[in-house]
Amino acid sequence: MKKPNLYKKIGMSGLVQAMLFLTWAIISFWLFVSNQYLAYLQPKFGILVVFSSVVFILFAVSLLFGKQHSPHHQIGSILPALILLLPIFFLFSSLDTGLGSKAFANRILDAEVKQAPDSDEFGENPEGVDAHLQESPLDQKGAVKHYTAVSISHLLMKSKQYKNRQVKAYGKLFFPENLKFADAVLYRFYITCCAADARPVGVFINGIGERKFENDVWVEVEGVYHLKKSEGDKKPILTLHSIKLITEPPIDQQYLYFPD
Amino acid sequence: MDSHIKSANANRESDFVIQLRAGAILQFIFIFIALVFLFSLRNTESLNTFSIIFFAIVLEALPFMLIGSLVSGLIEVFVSRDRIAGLMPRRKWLAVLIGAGIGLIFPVCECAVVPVVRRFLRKGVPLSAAIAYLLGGPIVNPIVGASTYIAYAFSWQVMITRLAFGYVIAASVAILIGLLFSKKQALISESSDHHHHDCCDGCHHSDHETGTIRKLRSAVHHAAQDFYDVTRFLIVGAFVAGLLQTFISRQVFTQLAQSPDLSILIMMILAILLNLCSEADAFIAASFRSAGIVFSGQMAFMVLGPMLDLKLILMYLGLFRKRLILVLSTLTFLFVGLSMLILQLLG
Repeated sequence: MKKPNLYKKIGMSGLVQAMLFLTWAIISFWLFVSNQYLAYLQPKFGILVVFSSVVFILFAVSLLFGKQHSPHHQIGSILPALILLLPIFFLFSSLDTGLGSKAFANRILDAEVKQAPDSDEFGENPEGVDAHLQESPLDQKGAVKHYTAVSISHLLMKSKQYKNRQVKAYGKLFFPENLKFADAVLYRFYITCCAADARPVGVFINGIGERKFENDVWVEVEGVYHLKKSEGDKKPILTLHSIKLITEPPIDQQYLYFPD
Repeated sequence: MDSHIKSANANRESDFVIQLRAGAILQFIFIFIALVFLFSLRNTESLNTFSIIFFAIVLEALPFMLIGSLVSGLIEVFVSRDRIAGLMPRRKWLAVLIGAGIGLIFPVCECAVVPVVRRFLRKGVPLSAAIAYLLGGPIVNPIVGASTYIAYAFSWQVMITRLAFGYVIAASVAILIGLLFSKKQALISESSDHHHHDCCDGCHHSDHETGTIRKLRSAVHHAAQDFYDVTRFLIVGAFVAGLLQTFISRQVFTQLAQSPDLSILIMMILAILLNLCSEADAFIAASFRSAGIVFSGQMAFMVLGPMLDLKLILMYLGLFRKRLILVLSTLTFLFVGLSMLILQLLG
């Protein structure tokens, strides 16, 4: 007996669903192997992305080689597939970019940058050294060894430890309107689970002088860290010795992740 | 008599066709708006921010949706109605009390719980017990407990308060829903669920199929169908949440929250709009401490969010009738609000 062809067997709806699941399987797998998923999720969720990829393949196989579908050509049953493809369209509109000053301005709560937390909120990182800066050519040349490379989250978490010490850090630059006691904010985003819950963490910086940088450029700064009491809060401030533009780090090094 | 039955069937079919058409039109409108948004804002920071948030919510939720769908498929194939009936306590209130706390043994987030509950309901679990699990499961579970414990600087009190309120509110709302609705009044008719049309053998595989491999294949097939049915609602919810997170500042909300009572209300609205995962929302709630939001407001955010947010409401559309969704949402909102006012009074 002649077997029905695939289209006749599973119908347009089944075929569309199987293709959709295969697309998501490929996208999930690619996000994992290229580390692109780190633009959206924290590293520990990588295993979940792989899991998704495997299950999507299983789904596609079960539809393609499983039992027979009704061969109806229902447009109504194909529209959900288009909805399920929408996130992929939006993924490709934001590749290789991280959250910027728009998200910073939307998410920052006044008190979050106006005071040094010095609390457990950001978790523990015994090393406290920023991985990106450890690999910086500046260190390899040994020219600025007296500056301690530190991530912004660690600087805030261990405010007292770094008080009056020379530190260097990197992040994005933002010039908020009506900022009176500092020139700008050096910030990065701190992801607990996904970019939707990412919180901006930043320190104020002084000593830039006239504004010669745009918002959202990546810079490496060196200076002295201190806490300045103003308007009832202790404000984390870095008085600059130097500031320089750096190339935008790869997407897997742009965010800080819980619990680092 | 026969003509009456035929006429009723014809009416039901005509209603079903109207529902299908309306659903298709709404889905088409959503796709059109999303694509217009994508192309009209291309290369802008707003679109970049939106795309990251939207995709992040979907990417984080997908594995949990897949787990939920797989569990649902396994239940369909391996657990018969009789077995479920045998496992459920005869007293409904006891089933509710167990349902609200079963997340402690079987932890799921709010994205995964919907397909599981859908399957439970079709397998004969009482409505009130399923609602108790739907509301309680995403809060009363060890993962959420641990994240709350860490977010609040290792505070047992905060963790226990959250889990206790989650349990009591889930059980209370579930009991009321059980009194107000029958299963027939609560669930969308099976005929309007195209999953049951696509499936060839009437979804009684546990009765007909034999052999573990065959059953597993069947379970995966069901899981794929469930996932396909429910996930579009998640995506619409994530889209709306992305828009809100991109275009509305969180400071707007904290500035509105001038008094403690208002804080509770604003934080509840924020919980509905932000659509955060129950495993991450404690960190966001804790960050509102620095903005002067009272503890009861933070707790309102953490208790309501996993029970009621935009994406959940949209996901409920694939399972419940609109009237039940309205009553369930209203009751949950009121119970959380009143509980937090009591917490505020107790200081």
